[in-house]
Amino acid sequence: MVGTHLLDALQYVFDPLTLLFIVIGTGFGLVGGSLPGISSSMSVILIMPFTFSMEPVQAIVMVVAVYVGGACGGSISAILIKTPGTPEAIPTTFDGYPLMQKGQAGTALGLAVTASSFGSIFSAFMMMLAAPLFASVALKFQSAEYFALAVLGLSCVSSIGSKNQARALVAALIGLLIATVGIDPISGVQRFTFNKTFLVGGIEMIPVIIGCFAISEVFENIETYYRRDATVQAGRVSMKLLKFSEMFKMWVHFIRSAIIGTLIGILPAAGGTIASLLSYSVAVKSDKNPERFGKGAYEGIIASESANNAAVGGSMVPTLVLGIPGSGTAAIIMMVFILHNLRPGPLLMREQPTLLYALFLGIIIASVLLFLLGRFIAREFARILKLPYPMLAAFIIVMGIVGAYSLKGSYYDVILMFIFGIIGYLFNKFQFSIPAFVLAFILGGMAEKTYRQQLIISDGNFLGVFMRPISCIVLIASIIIFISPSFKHILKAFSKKGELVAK
Amino acid sequence: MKKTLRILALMLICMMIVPVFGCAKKQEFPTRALEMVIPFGVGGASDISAREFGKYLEKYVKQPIKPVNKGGSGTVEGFEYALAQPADGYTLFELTTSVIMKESQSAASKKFTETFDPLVMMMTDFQILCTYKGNEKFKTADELVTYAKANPGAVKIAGISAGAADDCTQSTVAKGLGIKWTYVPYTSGSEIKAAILGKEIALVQDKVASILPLLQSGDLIPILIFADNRVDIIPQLKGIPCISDYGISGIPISWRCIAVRKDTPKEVKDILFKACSDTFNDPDFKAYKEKEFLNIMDVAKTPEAISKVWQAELKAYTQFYKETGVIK
Amino acid sequence: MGMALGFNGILIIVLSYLYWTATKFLDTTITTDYWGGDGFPRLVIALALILLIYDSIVTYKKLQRNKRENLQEKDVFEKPGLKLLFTGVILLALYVVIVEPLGYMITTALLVFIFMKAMGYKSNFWALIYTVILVAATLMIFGYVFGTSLPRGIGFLRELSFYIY
Repeated sequence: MVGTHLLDALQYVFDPLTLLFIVIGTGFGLVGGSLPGISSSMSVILIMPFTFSMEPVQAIVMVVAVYVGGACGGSISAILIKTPGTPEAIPTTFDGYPLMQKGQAGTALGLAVTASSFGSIFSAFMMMLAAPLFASVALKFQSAEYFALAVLGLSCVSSIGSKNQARALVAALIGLLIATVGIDPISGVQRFTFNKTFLVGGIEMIPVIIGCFAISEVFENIETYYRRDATVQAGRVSMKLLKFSEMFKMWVHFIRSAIIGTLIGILPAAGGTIASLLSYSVAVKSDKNPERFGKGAYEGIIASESANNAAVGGSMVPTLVLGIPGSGTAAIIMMVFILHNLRPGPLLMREQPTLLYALFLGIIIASVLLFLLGRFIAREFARILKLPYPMLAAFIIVMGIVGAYSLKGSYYDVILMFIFGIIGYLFNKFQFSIPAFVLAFILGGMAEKTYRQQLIISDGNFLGVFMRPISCIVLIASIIIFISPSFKHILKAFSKKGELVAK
Repeated sequence: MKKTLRILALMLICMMIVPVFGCAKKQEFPTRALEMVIPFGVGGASDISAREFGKYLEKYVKQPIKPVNKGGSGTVEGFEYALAQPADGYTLFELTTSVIMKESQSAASKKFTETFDPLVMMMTDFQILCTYKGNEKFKTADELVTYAKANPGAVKIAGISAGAADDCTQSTVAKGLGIKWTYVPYTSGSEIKAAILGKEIALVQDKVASILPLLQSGDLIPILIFADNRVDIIPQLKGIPCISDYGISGIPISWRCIAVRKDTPKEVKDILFKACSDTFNDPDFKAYKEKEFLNIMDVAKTPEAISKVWQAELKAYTQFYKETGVIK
Repeated sequence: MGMALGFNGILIIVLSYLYWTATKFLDTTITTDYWGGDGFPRLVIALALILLIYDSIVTYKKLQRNKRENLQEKDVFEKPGLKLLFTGVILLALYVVIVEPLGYMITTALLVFIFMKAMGYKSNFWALIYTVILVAATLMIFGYVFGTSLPRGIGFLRELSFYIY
């Protein structure tokens, strides 16, 4: 039974025309992903009109290829110009850009592509083998569990990006505060809008991340430009793949991040961005010496990229099985289904199992293509690094402007991007951790909203989040993770005192 | 430096002159591409349907339609942008009930209904109230009313964001049914569906097209239709009561319109109106709507009727916001 | 480190102001909310203020110790580079103001060209070529391929832009 469907799917997918569409889709996704402001959902929308006249399988496989490409493409600009091309690639900048500065851009890109590829293949297998099971797990996640996940992600803020823990925490708290700007999702009240309409809708993620990462970096480089070393010339960047044995040493990171990515991707209210942030947090926290992260640790890139691509397969699970899109991009892919007279939902999987296999094969082929196309696109993109700095800086600024603007066609986003550029610059100067700030900004909204939803649902029980098993376990784990470094610190201090007294 | 400036100036002048000659020929409207202002970000349902409509409209205006997404400030920025463009008919404005909602809160600099005229109501949608399979407390609207009357506030109902269309609809319905339920705001339709399938909440309202697969599989059970008449053509909704069965009326339905500035010249407006109604009747566009069940409630087909719908909704929202304390 | 104290001070003032704003949020009865729109922001600000004050005390103590021991401090900002930085920031501020009336093409070209000159790029010719390529490429990729409606400017410039993108 399974065999025949798989054979059917193979026939559909290995049609030359379909393969061509997959190649085009992956390439388009990669390019779109690498451009700031063009998210994978936007790339899918733009390619959607071309899929109307295709066969259903071709159309679906092509848009999924765009999605896979987009999830990987973000890492290219994240590593090369410290501008996450998509929000999913935010944690990739933490370690990718330092690697670039050390002259290891090629290795970083190679790792990113490998991890992306691995992540999506892993999630494709998970999707095919156990979609209905995973879908039922997803339904166990309700407000309380989402709150617990947000807290888990936040638990690492004290250990990323800054030596000064108090200031890292302040940065995170400011991030949480900025997440509250706009109309409160629960009470409908306007918060910190100061009667400005452009703040009513809240502050978007893209201008903040472009500002904090890319623009602030440009500011810093401008400041130190007067003492530049004119003799340093950027060489040709080409993608370097680590040896298999070197990769294999980090297998834990590959697999763990892929699992986290798939699981988070399945949850309808959390997509690739939260997956990669969480996976990065877990990688930092489970490492023996977390100080390595943020300075160019290979594991950081793997954690981020493997998870955000694994979220692709994950997000297709509830889309197919329940008809509930697992992410914004999955919602648009669902539109493609509908426009081809296929309505995702419990019945579709029973009636057309071939589709699932075709989708699975599509993801696998697109992931393999990432190596070929990713290498090519990264090499072309890396050419700009050879430009003299004034040109490169102008390039980054223009990309930032267009990226922030194309999000909603709003000027205020460009202004906000510059403001956050200045804030990011100052934060860097005074050691307020930017990664902590951005992490809290992204997870803050989810944490507050889900906690208050839970309050309404449990009729005002402030400890309601501890009443459900999954959320209780995750919350306790995050609390332990959060206090463990300071606890070790205190223990050390005590033992020192003890030694002194003993002397 | 001087030389470069000269070259630059020359280039600019060239670029300006060429199209001026192009403009000189007098032609009938439209002579260039039209802009369709979409007051939402890229990728939402409203964005996709506007783009879809634009695609078919191109056939009738014989010029490209360029979608312009202005998603800031919950439609206000898009409205302000459309308002700032010259009233020459080259700027179309897509709107949904959110624009009317913002007007009732006086969020923009001018009132929408006073500055724009409707061209077409592209599509309409209706929502249904559902509960999950195996809900022991109630399975029908009557049982819901009895249960909710006995336990006021115990029934949790989900909707998208606080103080928006869902919230307003539900408070009207609850008042009409004489019951009290607790509104739980979520941020997206998928979150809501996951919440009801996970039994976190007992009731959900959603658009028919997006919830139909779950009705077909029997995971959700429809109990009430939020529209003025029953919908028997969809098998799963056969025999399900609608709100007018309970004597409720005047809740905002869900629709998407195209509008143009009021002070646009009449000839231009007529051309646009004709193109829009041709598109509305286009068989391909109709087929697209049928797939999504966006045609069942098509009521307002003339500009006057559309204006009437807008006015009625404006009144409903204003009253709702006064009651909840958002406006004074 | 004096600078760091100053920055903490600014943050404390701004956050206190925001705290005061948060106490003025409207009250609505839209949902049965148990915490209110202001609960979370006020909690967050309060925690941030406590941490900032703690950090300021620690920094101040360090500062005193450094003074006692006559330790030379590293400057936070590099003075020779600040002039260029300010020029850059002012350029960007001007850009944001004029881009709406003048449209994307002209303004961005001006920004790129002036910015490169300000950073001391020598060749006018290459600067101009690069400007044209960059603006044309972004227009092509974002405007055509990805369908972003970049600003068109007003009046005459707006009409003009329809012939280009």
